[in-house]
Amino acid sequence: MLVPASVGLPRLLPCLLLAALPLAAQAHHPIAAKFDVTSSSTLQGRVTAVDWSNPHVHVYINVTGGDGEIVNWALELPSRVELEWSGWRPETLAPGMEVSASGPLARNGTHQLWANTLASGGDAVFTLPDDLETQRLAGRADAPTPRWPDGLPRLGPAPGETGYWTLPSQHSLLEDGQTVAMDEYGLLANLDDAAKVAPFQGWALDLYRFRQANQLRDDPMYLYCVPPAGPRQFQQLFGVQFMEEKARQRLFLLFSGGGGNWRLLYTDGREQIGQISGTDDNPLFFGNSTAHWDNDTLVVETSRFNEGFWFSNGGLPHTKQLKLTERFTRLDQNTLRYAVTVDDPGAYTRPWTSTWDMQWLPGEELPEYYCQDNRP
Amino acid sequence: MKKYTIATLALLLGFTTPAFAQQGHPLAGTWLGDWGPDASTRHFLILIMDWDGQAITGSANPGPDATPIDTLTLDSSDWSVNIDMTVKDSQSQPVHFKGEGTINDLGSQTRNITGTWSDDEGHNGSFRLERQSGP
Repeated sequence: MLVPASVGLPRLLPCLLLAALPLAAQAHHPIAAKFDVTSSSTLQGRVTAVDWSNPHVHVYINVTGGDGEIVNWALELPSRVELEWSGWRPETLAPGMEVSASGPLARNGTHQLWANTLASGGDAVFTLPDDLETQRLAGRADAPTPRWPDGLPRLGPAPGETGYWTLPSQHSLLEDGQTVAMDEYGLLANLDDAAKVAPFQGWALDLYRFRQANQLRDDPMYLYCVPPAGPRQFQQLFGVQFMEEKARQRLFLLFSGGGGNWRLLYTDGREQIGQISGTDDNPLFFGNSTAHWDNDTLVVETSRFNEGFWFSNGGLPHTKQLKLTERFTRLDQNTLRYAVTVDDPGAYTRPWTSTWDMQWLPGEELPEYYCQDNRP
Repeated sequence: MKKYTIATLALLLGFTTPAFAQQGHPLAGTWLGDWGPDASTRHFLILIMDWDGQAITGSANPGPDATPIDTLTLDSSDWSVNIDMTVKDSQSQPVHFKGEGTINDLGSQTRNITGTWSDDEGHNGSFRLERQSGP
């Protein structure tokens, strides 16, 4: 039974009222891009299948309509990674279970619902706490910045350790000194704040506003598995790992999410010699970087980007004139400060800087979360 | 001859089109389409446009009939485009093409421009261009 929220809540099963708990709005694509988040409906039905996959878990249920017709619906839920972080397992839901789910319907009218709540039989079966990320950081020991024998900070795990950087304090580029409310996808709470985000050129501001008003629906990272290159690498929920090869004076940046991308940085000033297509005429998603240490800060300068990707959550545009200066400073054991200066005279009126922190999550490896798993 | 020219242009395009979609300035890139006075008389058109941060520049129909675009403007308040150039029609006759169009489906990798054109002789009609996307 499909029940519009405005008229259906009084008729919901008591168990739903008792049991349903909110799910965090984490997902592979912006929920608003696919679902009409301005409305909510409720479905009741019997589970027919569970697809326990990234980027989103799907639960399929048969819903009996008022005319007795049975329609199969897809309930979309957060990623397998997030659900497993919160204790869920593939067998938590099984075919035959009676469930109720509430949330927004797909914009395109297909039988899909984003499950903000999902309950069965009086017991909450799907919960993902809003403070899941904070919970995962609990119990970390405070410690000073770990260092190599040469005194430079370690950006990756020490021998015998595991861990990676995650939970960025900011989810989109935003010029330092500005305060603008936005969600984890970089979607503005108020579109009138768009001009505060960065010193846009006119066309770039209008394009940014268009993408925002369009709920980020055209984001090529979600649609086509395009790499989250540029500063966007450090805005992803599923984290970043540094693999430092001191002997070769280079380090690799590995990313969870995206297509399992990586980036190579030489720390002795070398460019990426031998990089096929790494010229101004055939630029790259990750550009060409040179890196050096400035005291305790790794400074990376990158240019020759292509224009085939969004370089930030939220849809800020860039052009092939983009040059980035990134500064990585491990403030202590648990905090990595990332500051990026954007110099793109093709899209912005002046260079500008955005800064945020990431958190060290010890005891875990980068989760496997690849966009190749994507499905409609 | 016309088929040969188009094939040559298409081959050339294959070597010049970047193998990725373009998410930067909405006009930058290679656009393919046609123009003409009516549905039955159409002239093949390739525009290659670029944005240097201050001005949009471009050329039409790369190859032996290539011509620079004299004026290209974009009004991002409504995504309207003005194009002023001299192009050769299918009979290789020069035409002073003054086009007014609008970018449609702006967020798509294969967005398009549709609009109308006129020349100094009082001729007019429609044109359509589609942004080419790599594989």
